[in-house]
Amino acid sequence: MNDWQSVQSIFLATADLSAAERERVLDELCGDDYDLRFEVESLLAADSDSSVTIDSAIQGVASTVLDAPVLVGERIGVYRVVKEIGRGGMGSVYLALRDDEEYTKEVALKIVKRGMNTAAVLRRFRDERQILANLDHPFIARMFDGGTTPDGVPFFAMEYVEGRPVDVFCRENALDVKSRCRLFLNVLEAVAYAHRNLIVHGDLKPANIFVTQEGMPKLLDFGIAKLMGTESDAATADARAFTPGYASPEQVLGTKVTTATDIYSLGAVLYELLSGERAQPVDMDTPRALNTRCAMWRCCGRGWWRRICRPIWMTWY
Amino acid sequence: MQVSHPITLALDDLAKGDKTALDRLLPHVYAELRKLAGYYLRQERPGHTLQPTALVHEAYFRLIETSQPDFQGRSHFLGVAAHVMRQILTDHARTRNAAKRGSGQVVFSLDEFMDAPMASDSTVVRVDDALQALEQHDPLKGQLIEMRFFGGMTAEESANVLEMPLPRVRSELRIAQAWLKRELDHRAASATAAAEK
Repeated sequence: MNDWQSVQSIFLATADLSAAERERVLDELCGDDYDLRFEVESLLAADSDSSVTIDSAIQGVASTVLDAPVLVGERIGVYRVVKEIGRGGMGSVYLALRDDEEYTKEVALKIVKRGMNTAAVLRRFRDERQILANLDHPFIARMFDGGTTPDGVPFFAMEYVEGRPVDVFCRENALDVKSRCRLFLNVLEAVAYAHRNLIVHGDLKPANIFVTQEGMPKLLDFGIAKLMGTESDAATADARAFTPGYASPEQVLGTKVTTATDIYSLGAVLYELLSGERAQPVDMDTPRALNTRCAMWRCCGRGWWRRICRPIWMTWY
Repeated sequence: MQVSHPITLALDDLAKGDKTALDRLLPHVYAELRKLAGYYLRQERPGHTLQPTALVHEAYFRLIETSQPDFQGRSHFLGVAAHVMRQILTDHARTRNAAKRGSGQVVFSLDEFMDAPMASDSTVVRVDDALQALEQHDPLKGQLIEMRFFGGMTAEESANVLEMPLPRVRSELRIAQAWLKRELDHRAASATAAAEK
């Protein structure tokens, strides 16, 4: 009899015995073969351990996995999906090609995650579509199109930007303060343009401010936060989603988001670009921690807001 | 006279021992499972989690059009579907893990805040790795686990497909589960240790 068979038969012989009985039978069957005994006992321990369940391990992930059908190679509207290029809490981003008879164009296809209230997203998209389509600025990634996938999930087609997030770009190219400011002024120009068109970004942060190889900034995801209902007009506080490191107090507190929200986030980004440190801690990952922090800001009078954001505000308004 | 569905025919052949029937069956099962997953996802029931085994069972009722469920055929179908379901789940989890590691640029916004719960992808990969280790160690037990957890098959159904006595299947399953749980525990522990380094 090989070892594995001994292990199995001793396991089966002892699995349903009481603790004392089990000891006795194990002593008898294993003798002084400690490896064998250890093997059987560790299996018995696993057998009675209810903390690891295979069921929940598999089913817990099934929804998230099945949630994201493999779209690569598939056709969504007029787009052919090439590869996944990013993934976040709101969904996934794919590089896709628009194949027309005339020309081929690369787009970033953002596919909204399920459970994001599809109907509301689509309704807001219909409301905003024209406004977003009209947002025509060299420093803002264009929104081309939107609709639903064959599975009924909303998607947005946006200009595909090859570049690096602004913080990475500055670091990699070792830009001096002057160049960083010059770059940032271009970012401000783009945001000011959007604000003149009454569009708030709502989630400005380095990851949304791309810089192309030529040093041209490209703002991504303009208006997306609003489409997702992540602006504070969402009724439930829990539904709010923003990036803690750059979120303004009004976002955290769930009050009205305005153009000032973007200015605040820009201040946090500029602070980081110039000082190399985050303007506000990123460990504020629970709404409660964020709320506490915000209450403190209100009391302390936000020193860096006065030093950095207000001058920007004054320049542009 | 009723013309039998290709699925029913393939299942008959499979039951007769024709292994090529499996190849004919797989694409149908794959397509149906995907379609069903999509269908359920469209319902958007809040808090609804997809139960892979429920999908497998429903796929059976959709694909088999006989009014009398044939126990033999059903068991065979579930065995095949369990394997397909495991493939679907693990392939996707692996692709997504790779995409997460490989993409230097993450473009999508609002990700920092929301990304944490999605680490669960690696759990299914860990289950699959552990299951592969079990298959190497003891192929029969690996197959039984697959049938039970990815196909929702009862011990009776597995016993029927594998043509084995029911008590043997029950004890094999019990040992297999203990082995797999121990393995998963080890892997989770070493993954945590690696993350802390």
